[in-house]
Amino acid sequence: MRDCIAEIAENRLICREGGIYSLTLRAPSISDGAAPGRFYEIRVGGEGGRFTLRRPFSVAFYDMDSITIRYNVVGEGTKWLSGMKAWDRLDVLGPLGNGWPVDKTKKTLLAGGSTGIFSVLGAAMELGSPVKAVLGFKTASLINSLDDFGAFGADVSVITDDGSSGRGGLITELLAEELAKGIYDRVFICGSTMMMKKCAETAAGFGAEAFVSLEERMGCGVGACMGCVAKIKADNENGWEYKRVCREGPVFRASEVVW
Amino acid sequence: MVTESGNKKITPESVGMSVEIAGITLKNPVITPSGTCGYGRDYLDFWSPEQLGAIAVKAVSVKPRDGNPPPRIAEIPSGVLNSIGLENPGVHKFISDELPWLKSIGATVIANVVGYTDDDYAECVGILDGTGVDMIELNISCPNVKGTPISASAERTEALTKRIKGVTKKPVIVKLSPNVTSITDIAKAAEAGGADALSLINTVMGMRINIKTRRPMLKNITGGMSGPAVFPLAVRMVWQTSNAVNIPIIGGGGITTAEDAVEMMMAGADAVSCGTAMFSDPSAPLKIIEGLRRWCSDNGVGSVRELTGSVVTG
Repeated sequence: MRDCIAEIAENRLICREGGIYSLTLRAPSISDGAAPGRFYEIRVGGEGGRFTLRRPFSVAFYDMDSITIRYNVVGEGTKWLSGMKAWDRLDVLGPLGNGWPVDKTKKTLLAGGSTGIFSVLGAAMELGSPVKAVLGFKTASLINSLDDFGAFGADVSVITDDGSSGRGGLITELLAEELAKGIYDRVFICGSTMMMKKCAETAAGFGAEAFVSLEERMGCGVGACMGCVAKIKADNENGWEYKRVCREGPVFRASEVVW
Repeated sequence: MVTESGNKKITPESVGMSVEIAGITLKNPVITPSGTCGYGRDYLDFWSPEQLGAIAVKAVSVKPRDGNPPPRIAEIPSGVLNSIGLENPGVHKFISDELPWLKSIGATVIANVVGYTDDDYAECVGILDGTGVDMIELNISCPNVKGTPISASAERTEALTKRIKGVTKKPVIVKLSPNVTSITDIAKAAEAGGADALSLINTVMGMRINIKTRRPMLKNITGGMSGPAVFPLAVRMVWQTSNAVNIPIIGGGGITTAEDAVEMMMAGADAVSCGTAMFSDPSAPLKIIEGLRRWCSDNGVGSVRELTGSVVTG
């Protein structure tokens, strides 16, 4: 991992309703070690500001000297970030965490919910065509980034909670129909905790190996502070142990997560 | 910039950086405090423990501890609120898996020790006594575990310190809590019990609530505050304590820059700790070490030791 000062190539609102931005950062070797599902921690508020903790974002895609992350404005830190313009500079730490176990010999299905789609977008890039992605959104006005999945050769099916675009219902329905084809070895799942839990159960029902990318309040991002732990099954008295989302994760086998 | 002190020119390279704590010489006065730096491996892309004055490793207890359920961390204006709950793999695993490496690279190691009872502390320190750790730090002040911390009572602090001094020949540092009525009473009690040095402050007890969900931001409800938000409190307590005792002080709490370190030393600290600053800038400890050299050189200070207690109050 490296701590570098990157220049903003673009910080563009891509979904007004969701307050979702696409941020592309440029710096020599910024993407060294980048992989789908890994993440970067961005310092917000400037040096000596009121924000002490960096904000973690999974990388959506990258090339030699740039990375693109996508985020929605959820609090003061991301609000500050959304005000940054092209040519402004940001302090970026990463890449961090383990990432998705991308293996082109395993037929992999991608499942993303809401802002969880950005983490699996990187997997679509690395897996290459043909790859299938099932994506869930609350409502039509929150749908975004479908073109990018398409650009990486992904065949995308979308479902909305309220049926305002395409089909209405839960992502688990799409996932089940896709898995019923019996051609998938693995599923990469990223979304809300409830979405991931339900999708993991669905995948287990079809005997597919499921991986999830967990989210937890994070401190240092490098494994030192033990702030961002999740309960993971273990062979001990408890039957579980805490593992660091930033270091051993954020991607875990769904079957090992204590939900 | 080159300045003159007497007849000798002071350059950043010539500034005397070593300090002495309880008979142990630290190559510089910057320590990473327990709980912010694991066992020294996590920040290797930025600094290595032997570059520091010392590393105070994550607290160890006789038996492993799971720590508190998440969320364990939240942000406060200019700082952090945490409630990790002393998660650690146990002292035996620390000795077998972490300590040999730390010693092999030449790090000065402060083992931070916790226990539920005085017996726990004595047992854990007894186990560490025969190892290569350089100093023992009694963590009697964690705000994130059940029960009243020992550091809230002068009598209990003195009694435990005395007992621990009886089970180890290694220098014993007592880490004090700011969550007390009189920090100097506790500091004097630790000194009376035979403490070789003090470190302060541990985190300041705080709480935050998510007003949308009406739930505390931490699962443990309360936690400990650190970062720049607590810096003036730490400076005040180090100053008061240094006037009350005659043993060395490791001063910390919100130190983010070399100037903060200078200020803390002027208040009376012999060495400083820099922890939460790493969450913003992982290179902070090295930057502080280099910044101290520069500040001293720019200000005609030949050795960082000259800074300790040099505040002018008259």
